[in-house]
Amino acid sequence: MESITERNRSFRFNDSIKEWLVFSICLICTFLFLFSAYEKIIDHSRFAKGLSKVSIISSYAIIIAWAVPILEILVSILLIIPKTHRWGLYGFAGLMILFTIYILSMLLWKETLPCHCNLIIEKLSWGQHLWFNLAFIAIAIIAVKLSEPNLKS
Amino acid sequence: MNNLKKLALGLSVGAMAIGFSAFKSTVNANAKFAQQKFYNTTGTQSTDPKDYEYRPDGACESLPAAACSAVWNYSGTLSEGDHPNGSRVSSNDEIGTWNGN
Repeated sequence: MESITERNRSFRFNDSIKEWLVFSICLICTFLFLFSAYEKIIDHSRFAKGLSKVSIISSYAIIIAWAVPILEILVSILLIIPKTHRWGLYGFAGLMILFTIYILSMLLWKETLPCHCNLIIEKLSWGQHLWFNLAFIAIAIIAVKLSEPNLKS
Repeated sequence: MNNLKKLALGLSVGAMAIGFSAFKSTVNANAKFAQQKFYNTTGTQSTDPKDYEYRPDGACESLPAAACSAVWNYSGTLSEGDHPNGSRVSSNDEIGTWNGN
């Protein structure tokens, strides 16, 4: 009985490593969203113009063009504040899932439309962009799982 | 690490993200080129400058194969969506499909 408990303990992440991992993921996600939000606000007309070319969302282009960077900033704030970082991770994963659905729709309808992405992403094809987003969704989910309070030992 | 240190580090990363983004925007805005790649918005090779646009973040995807981009002469400061105002440099368009960026 005791040896099983020991084995379980050895498999379990050390709490401080967990904390660092979750915190590092939060920082990476914050960087990505704030970088992206700043560009979308500074170059807002370009972003809105790009969205207006997408047939399925063109009528809501102005609202979406403001909502996306505002939501990115809000999620970043939640990620930065230690007490709310878990909510931030949920928000991050949620938004990334929405962006991924957008990319999937682009792939399905074979549209060559702007995504106004940043960093290395702007050089990626839609397919590569999809994998990039999926990887970020995965790390956000891992961080949520790791930040779950310890249940029964 | 206590919450205050985490908050401070988080704010630093946030400031860094905005700083990098601002730097990148400034570099793009100040782009001045004598020759520049313009993206073909029609997919068919043309000699009409109106069929080509300056897109700082553009790229050609390998498929489907079409007329994607060409180098043109340009004078002045470029901003996104500008057409070339000089002569065409490339004899043929780069093949691929403009990614829309």
